[in-house]
Amino acid sequence: MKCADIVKVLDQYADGQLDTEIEILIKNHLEKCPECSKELDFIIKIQKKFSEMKKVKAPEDFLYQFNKRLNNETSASKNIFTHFNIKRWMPYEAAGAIIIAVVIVMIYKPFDYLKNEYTEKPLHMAESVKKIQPLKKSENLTKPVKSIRKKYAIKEAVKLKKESVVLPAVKKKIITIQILNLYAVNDIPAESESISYQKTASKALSSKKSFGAAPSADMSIRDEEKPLTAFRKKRAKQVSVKKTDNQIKTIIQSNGGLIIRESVSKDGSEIIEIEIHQEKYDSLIKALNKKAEIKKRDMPSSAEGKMIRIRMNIKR
Amino acid sequence: MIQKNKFNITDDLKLIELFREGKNDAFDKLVMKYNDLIFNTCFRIVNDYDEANDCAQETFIKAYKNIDKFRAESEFSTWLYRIAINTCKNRITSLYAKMKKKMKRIDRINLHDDQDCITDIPDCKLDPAEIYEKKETEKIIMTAIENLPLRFKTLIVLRDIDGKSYEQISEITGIKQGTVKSRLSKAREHLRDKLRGVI
Repeated sequence: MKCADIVKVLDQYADGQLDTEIEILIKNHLEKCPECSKELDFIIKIQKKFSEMKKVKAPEDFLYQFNKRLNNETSASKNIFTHFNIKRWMPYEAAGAIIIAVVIVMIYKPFDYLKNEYTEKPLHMAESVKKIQPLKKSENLTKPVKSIRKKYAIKEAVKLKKESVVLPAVKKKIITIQILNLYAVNDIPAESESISYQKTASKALSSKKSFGAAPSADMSIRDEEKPLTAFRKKRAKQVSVKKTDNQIKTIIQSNGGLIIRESVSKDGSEIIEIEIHQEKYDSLIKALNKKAEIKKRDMPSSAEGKMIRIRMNIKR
Repeated sequence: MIQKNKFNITDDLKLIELFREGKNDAFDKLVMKYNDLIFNTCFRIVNDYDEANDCAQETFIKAYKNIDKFRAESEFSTWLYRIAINTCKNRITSLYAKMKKKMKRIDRINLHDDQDCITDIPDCKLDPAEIYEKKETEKIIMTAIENLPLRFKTLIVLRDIDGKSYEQISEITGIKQGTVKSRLSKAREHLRDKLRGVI
């Protein structure tokens, strides 16, 4: 072993922390090497000095000082709780309440609309924003000014929201209207009309496979000889009726429409087939326009004084 | 050289149990039992009497408040030492600037400056000249220890001054025994370099 290696472990040798084999090796080396022996003497000298160092005692009033400081600290911590009449477990409750509030906010996301465009905001909000932020082309605003205006507009919108009564956001339905058939009301005799009506109706039905009607209902009333209105009412009762939108149904009925068939298609849209007089057709469309968006409307041509049969496809 | 723990461990556990039952006197007994040991360690690390007193008191206050966390997996004194070492480390870190001002080079120490006199060491067997020499040597050693990096300082204090075993040091500092040995060797090497030619 070299002297440099020996010196590295000499303190542990002096400390008695080395294995016996290494100890013997070092001992043999020390007998031959006066420099390493001198280093060991220095190490032992320092250790002796350490051991000679007197233990410094704590002040005599250490316990008194400790108790005094302890009382001060505990009374200070007690005062915070007692002053506000808060019990020690209250912070846990407060933390629990905060966590619940955060979870509610995360689920319902009430402030999400502030991040996105106006289209994602509730209807009443979008309208108010539009009123506040009319950006004219002639103003030639720079981008920063626009962003400031946008921020201002959002702030104003929030204010308005706070002040105004919160209305539920209205989601308009889309109604696709298709004219199935036209026929005269007055100039057709009851029997022949019913037969001709059935023929045209069954034709219209057979042409639309996805309609989901009950053909047995058509067959059962084909031979009956009754006035047209009575026939229509009976037929309306007999067809397989599925649950559809009551709001739209009331609009139809209040505007003189007679619901012939209701069903729900595979894609979830509701299908209502109605009969209505041509004169009342426009008023029905107007009424429907308030509650829903009319996507497609086939205008009846030369249908004066005639009944119209319509199929309405309602999508949410 | 290495002092054996003269304190009875079962006594400590009994006192802790009594304190947990609500008898505050039991903790006072623990304070009286260990205040000198903890104070000495704090003093050797911080090298300032008032700061050491403050650290030692803080140690006992922390122990008082967190006595429920003591699970008797180690000795109570080891647990106290651990708190004391951490308290002193925090104190030195927070008072780094202040401490830096106080640090002195060994070769520039004014041996006639009695302002930093540590403590009076009454020893009737020694004559005044010997007492004076002993004091000065101690002062030099303390300054050398003070100038050591903190990680070395705590090990030197625990091993060479307090006489703790390597196992106890490992428990107190949370460092593996092998690392304690190697780090202690480096610390002693630093110290030898600083004290060579001075003592």
